[in-house]
Parts: sequence; structure tokens; C-alpha cells
Amino acid sequence: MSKKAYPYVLIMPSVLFLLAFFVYPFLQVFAQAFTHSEGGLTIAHFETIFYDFNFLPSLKNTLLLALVVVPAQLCLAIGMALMISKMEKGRDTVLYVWTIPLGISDLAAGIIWLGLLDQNGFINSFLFHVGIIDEAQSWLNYQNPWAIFAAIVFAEIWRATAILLVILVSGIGLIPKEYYEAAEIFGANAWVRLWKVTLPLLRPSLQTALILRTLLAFEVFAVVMILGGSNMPVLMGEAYNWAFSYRDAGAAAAYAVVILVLSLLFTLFYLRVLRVPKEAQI
Amino acid sequence: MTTITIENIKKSFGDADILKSVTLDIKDQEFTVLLGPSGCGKSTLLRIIAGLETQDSGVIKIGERDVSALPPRDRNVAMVFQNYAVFPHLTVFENIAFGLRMKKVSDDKIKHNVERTAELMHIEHLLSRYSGQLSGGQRQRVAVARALAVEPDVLLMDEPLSNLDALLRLQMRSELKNVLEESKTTTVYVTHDQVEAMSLADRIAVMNEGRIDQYDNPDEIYRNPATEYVGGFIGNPPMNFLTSPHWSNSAPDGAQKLGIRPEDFLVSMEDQVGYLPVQIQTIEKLGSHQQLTSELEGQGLRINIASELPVQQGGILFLQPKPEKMRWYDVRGEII
Repeated sequence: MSKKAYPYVLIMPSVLFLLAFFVYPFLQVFAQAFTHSEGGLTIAHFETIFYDFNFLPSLKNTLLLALVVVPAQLCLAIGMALMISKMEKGRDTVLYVWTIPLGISDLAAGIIWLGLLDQNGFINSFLFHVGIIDEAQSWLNYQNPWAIFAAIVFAEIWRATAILLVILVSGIGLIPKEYYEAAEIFGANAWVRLWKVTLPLLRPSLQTALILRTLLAFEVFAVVMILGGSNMPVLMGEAYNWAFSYRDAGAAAAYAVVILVLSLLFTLFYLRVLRVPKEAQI
Repeated sequence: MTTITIENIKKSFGDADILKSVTLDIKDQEFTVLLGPSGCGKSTLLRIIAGLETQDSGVIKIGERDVSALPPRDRNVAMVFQNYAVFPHLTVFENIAFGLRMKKVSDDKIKHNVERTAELMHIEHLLSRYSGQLSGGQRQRVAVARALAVEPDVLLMDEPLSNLDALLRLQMRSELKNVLEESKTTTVYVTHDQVEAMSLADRIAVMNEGRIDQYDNPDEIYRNPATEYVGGFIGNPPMNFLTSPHWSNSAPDGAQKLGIRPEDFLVSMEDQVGYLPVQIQTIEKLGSHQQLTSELEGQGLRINIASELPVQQGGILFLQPKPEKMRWYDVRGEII
């Protein structure tokens, strides 16, 4: 086998896998979104979802959740990654503990948080037994949309900050320590070193982490479903409803395309904003 | 422009005592080289002066100021790193300006200093480039310019030339010497390369396992090595050390070994009074001279002789050390 072909052969299995199980089904969905049930091109499915009363709230909720959750997670993850990188002992242990929520499915995560926040949940019973409240409170109902929102934000931050964390920890590990020492010698304190050295040199990792996390934020579903139910419509939940409750695969496909377009826009945004010119890379 | 006073600095990492009470007085505008093999503690000492490491005990003064407990940024030192540490995300201009920006110097002054030092290092045409577009030698120039631009009290250099190829290193060495002489900055320079040390230093501190064996000017270090270790480390080939040779009649009390440089022998092809025969084992013709490896009374001996002498491998040569060049060392390996 020629040396030139070697890398392509090595990535072939994963490419085939992606083509078969991601690209092909997606093309199908894409086609479905623009195809009339009797055949022929149409934008009727998009009209269906755009005129649906849940479309704008679900779009708003999804964007708002992403807007709150992703920056909060980013700040947390940067802080956690910096702390971990400074540790000399027990670093792996802490990293493993912090990544445990990643191993739990988002459905299970939603159930855990419901168990905590529910009217019969741990927090209610705790507050009741300590005597802070006189009777169990129902926080997660349609009268408290902000409580639901906050609960989802908490659950999402708890569940998925570690995705950013692991990417940033490995990115920080790639920055040679001489840069920090040089910055220190030439007068930069810890705060300035973070802004003038760490973050600029971390741009490639920040880019990867943000793209990944934002795309996942647009697909937020199970946690919202459990904690908010129909009180908190999101795009992915609507896609699910159209597919399985209303039995309209075309409209569900249209939702999938909307999510894809959003994802593409944000990916392009990150690629542009956090671009590192080739000559300025480490 | 200031002095550096290092008093009884000790440092250990775990069980390893890296520095065992080091004391050093560096004069104003002096170029001091810390010389020694890897692991002798020279880089650690430099990093302690910089403030990147903290000493276990002892005092560092820069001028009259005790800086022992200050962070690096409050010491007004600049440093050139072995791997250059030129920031990849900043242009050459911004790299050189980095220290000045931290000091919140005015833009005019920054521009002036950056351009002046860039010119000094001959990189004024590279100011808008990034480090990724530069060669190793150019990066080294940026690192030196960045250090000079802040007009530091003390300039610290950690093996700055060791990542350059041999030819470039020679060129940079002489250039560096001129630039630093002109800048009149007190400089501490770490290297394991004795030629670099000899050619650059006003004074060399030869370090051996966490101690300074000798701190003196290059000539003195070469001519009168304070210890057997220094004699064996400086000079290529190193000084010969002979145990109780027949030339011992002039030896002072307590003398254990004779130290004599390879070039400091009187040589004869015939036996003469006071000369001893050595057997020649190998001959290396080096153009300007011949380097012989030989044996005297069962001890190895390196000799440099004139290139025209007709010696043969396995042949015999008669030697006498030049009396004024003989150095005697006691049991502890110290000069008498």
C-alpha cells in the first residue's frame, strides 16, 4: 500500500460509519422536510411549523437557554480547568469526579433534578423538616416559568460543563510553561496572564469546546422534557412532538432542518471569531 | 545597571539538594556566566534570581534592594529563555513591547524602545511578523530584543544559544557580546558550553553539584583552576592530573596530585635530565598542533605538541612539565 493512501485507509471506517449513520439519515430528513406527502417539492412543512403557536416560544426558549447556559459553563469550565492544571497531586481523580455527570444520560439527569426540586422532592422535604417552609412548595409549575428555566439551567450546567472542561484541560496542557514564565518576568500578574497568554493561546480549544457545547445546547431535550414538560417548549421537543404525538414526519423534519441551520450559523460564527491565523499558532 | 548579591542560597527539590549554600557577588555591569554540566544547579540559581523559583533559605539583593521574597515582576529583571518563549499569538512588535505595555509606558516610548532594540538585533524588518514565520535565530533575536526593551536592572539568560545550529551560534555569540557590552546591563548567563563561557564572560562561576567551585575571570580559571573539578571541566582536552609523579620534588606539603595542561610540557625526542619517557598511544593531527594520548607510569596523559614533530604511534617521547605551569592539588582536590 502506498504511503499516501495510508492515512485515508485508516480514517475510512469512521468515515463510512458517519456516512451510513449520520449523513445518509440526515439527507433523508432534509429531503423529507422539503417533500410533499404525495411527492414533489414543497415548503408546506415549514409553513406548518412556523404558523404553529409553539414555534416562536420554542425558538426563544432554546436560544435563551443556550445564551445563558453556554457562557456560564464556559466561565465555570475555564475556572475549573485552570484549577486542575495547577494541581500537582490527585489531578486525575478530581477530573474523573467532575466528569461523572457526563456518564449519566440526560434523561436520568432530568429525573435526578426533578427528584430534588419536585413538590415531594428532597429539597422540599429538607426545608420542611428543618422548618424553613410550612408546607411543600410546587416550584416547577406553569405559574413559575422562571423557576423552571432556572432549574433547567442548573441541571444543564451540572450535566454538561465537563464536556467543555475536558477539552480545555487538554488545551491548557498544550501551552508550554515558558510563556507563563516569560509573561511573569515581564510584569504580568495572574489576571493579565490569563487574558494575555492563556486565553489567546487556548483559542483552538475554546473554539472546539464552544462549537460542540452550543450544538448540544440547541438539541437540549430530555432535561427540559422532565423538568418543564409542556410549560417549556424547545425546538427538539417540538420535533419530537410533531414526529410522535402529531404523527407529522414532514413537520418534524422541518424542525430538524431549523436546528441544523442554527447550528451551522453558530459554528461559522465561532470559526470566524476564534480564528487563529496559521502563522500565529503555537 | 546594578549589582547582584547572592548570599547563602539553598534549594532542594524533595531529597535532592540542588543548591548547597551558594554565595556570589556580581558587580555593576558585569557579565557573569554560570557554567557547569547539566544538573549542577546553574539554571535553578538563575531562576531563583529571576524569582521563578523560591529559595529555601538565603538572600538575593539587586542593588541595595532585598528581592528575596518579591515576585518576578517586581524585581525589574528581564530574561531570555532557552526555547525563546516568543509569544506565538503576538507580532514581533507586540512581543518586544510586552514588558513595556505591562509597565503602562506611553505609546511613543514603546514605539521608540521597540524600534531601537529591534534595530540593535537587526530584526527591524520583521516587526509585523508572527513567531511562526521566523527562524530559530530570528526568534532568539526577538527574545533578546524583548528583554533589552524594558531596560532592566538585570538581564538573565538561560542557555540562549543552545537551540541554534553551530554556525549561527558562533555568529550570535559575538553579536550578543557587542550588544550586551553596549547596553551596560548587569548580566547573568547560564551555559554548559565552556567555549561560550570563556568567550563571553567577565567572570565565570564554575558550578559543581550545587556549589560554586571558582568564581573568577576566564584566564584565571584556565590558568589556576581552584579545584581538580574545574581543571577537568575547563579546557579541551582537560587538565592532566597525575598522582605522585617523578616530578614531585618541587611539590609543596600535602600535595596529592599534579595538575598540568596538555600544552604546558617541554618536549624532547631524546632523553635529557629531568625528562621522563611516555609511550604514545594515539595521535590526532589537528592542523595547528597534534594531540597525543600517552601513558606515563601507568597513568593516562594528554599532550599537545607542535605539528611538525615527527612522532609515531607506539613511539616514545620525553617530557618535562614547564615549572611555572605546574599546579598542585591536595587530598580534597583543592589547589595549594
